[in-house]
Amino acid sequence: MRLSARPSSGVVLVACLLLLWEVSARLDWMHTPNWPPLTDVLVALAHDTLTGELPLLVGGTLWRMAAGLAAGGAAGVVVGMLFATLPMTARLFGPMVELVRPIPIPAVIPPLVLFLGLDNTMKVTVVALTVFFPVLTNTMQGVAAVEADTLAMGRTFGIGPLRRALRITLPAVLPYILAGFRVSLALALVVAVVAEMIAGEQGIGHYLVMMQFAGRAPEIYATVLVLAVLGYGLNRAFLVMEHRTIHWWFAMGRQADG
Amino acid sequence: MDFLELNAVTKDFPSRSGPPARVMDGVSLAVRQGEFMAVLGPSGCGKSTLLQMAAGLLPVSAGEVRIAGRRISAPPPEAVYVFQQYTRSLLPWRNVRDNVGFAVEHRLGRRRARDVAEVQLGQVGLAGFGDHFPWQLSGGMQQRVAIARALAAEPAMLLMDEPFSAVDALTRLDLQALILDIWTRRQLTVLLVTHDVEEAITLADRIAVLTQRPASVAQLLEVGIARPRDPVTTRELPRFLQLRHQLLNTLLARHEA
Repeated sequence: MRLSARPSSGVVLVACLLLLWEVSARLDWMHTPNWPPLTDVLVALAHDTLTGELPLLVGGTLWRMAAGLAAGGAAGVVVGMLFATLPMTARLFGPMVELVRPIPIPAVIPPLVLFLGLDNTMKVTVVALTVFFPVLTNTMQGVAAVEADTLAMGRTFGIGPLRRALRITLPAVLPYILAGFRVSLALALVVAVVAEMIAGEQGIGHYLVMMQFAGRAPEIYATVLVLAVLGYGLNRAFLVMEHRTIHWWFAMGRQADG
Repeated sequence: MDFLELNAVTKDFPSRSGPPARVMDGVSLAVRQGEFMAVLGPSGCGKSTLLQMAAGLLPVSAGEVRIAGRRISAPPPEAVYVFQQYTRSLLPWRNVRDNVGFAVEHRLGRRRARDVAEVQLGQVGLAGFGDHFPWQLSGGMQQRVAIARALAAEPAMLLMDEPFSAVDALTRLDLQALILDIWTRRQLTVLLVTHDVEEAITLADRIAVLTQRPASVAQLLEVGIARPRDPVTTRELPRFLQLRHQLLNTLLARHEA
């Protein structure tokens, strides 16, 4: 577990770069008004946070991202379990999935706008599509890795197929599912913001574009900072949740390593 | 009375090229109620396949399996299968207590299953280990957990697939003594598959020896050593040595020198 926070040389480097930012902007080394000092950016950040504008925008983006994550993730788990347990379904739908998967997700935004409009439905769908594929692949791998003996154990005790699926297969596959979600989480934030930048008048992505048109550099950098912290925080929070949920998986991995 | 009957059981596995491969050809075997029978055979002869069919975990290609007189096609409530690989059969996300309780919680609910588990853990010498996770225990202790779980279902019969082959030699003797003790106290019927000749003689009333593939019963021997048997002194008896000699020669396909 690399979760313990210890100040390292990496943190020092970040601090130095932030200092360089401030100094370079104050002394106007770049000869441009588009390189505002860090302190100006932080002032803009504080202002937009205190007015409630930024929290509201971030909240909206996070909400859409979470909805897409939940919908796409749930679909990925269900379809993955289905594909892995009923080979018929994999043969039938597999080629279709393989054709849709390589499409760059931002490319599906314009056609989706035609069908779903500019607002929540479209953005949640885009995020869901993004999340669906990694979770699907991982779930299938996970189901394939469940030992035949483990399932036979359930049968010898007279445990029915549904209970076996919920109490043996699902927990056994959970580490794979969570790994799929971890990969998807970063993508989901990216895609949610991109969708907001391309279409509609919602969320932090739209705000970023508006500030760009208005030429308000401090607000632009403030937004980018917020997104950086958000991405970092989400990943950290997910890792903590993952280690709590499947502590046994990490514990066994450590044992196998040692 | 025969508790488990295999009548002319045949098993074919589909093969990628050509006709299906026959791994078992007309095996007939009857295990009496309360009997401890061991099945010995060269590795790869299909011992585990035989046991899985007896447990209703694998369908027969021809013939029939009867348990307590009933023809079975699915795992019967009377018999529980104990797996060779405890690491695969124990659930790593459940602690020891809930692993044992898993055998009955679909019938009794989680709370009563935990009570049952505590009792069974005591029976296999693991009282107080309920909160541990399987992967925190030694191999021998993990197989004890698997045995406790099997006992929790209160079966009349245990079907054991080389249950002691993955532990060290001393632990194996320990577990053999445990299973003999449980078999006596609970008046169980046991069918044990093993490749360990000494284990078969020490534990069993009768020993069935299988041939190479396609497997059939080559020999059915009465052990005829008085009980209770001691894991150490039993191995020094003339009858033990004589059986060991005979069985090893058969398994190694050697003729009497």
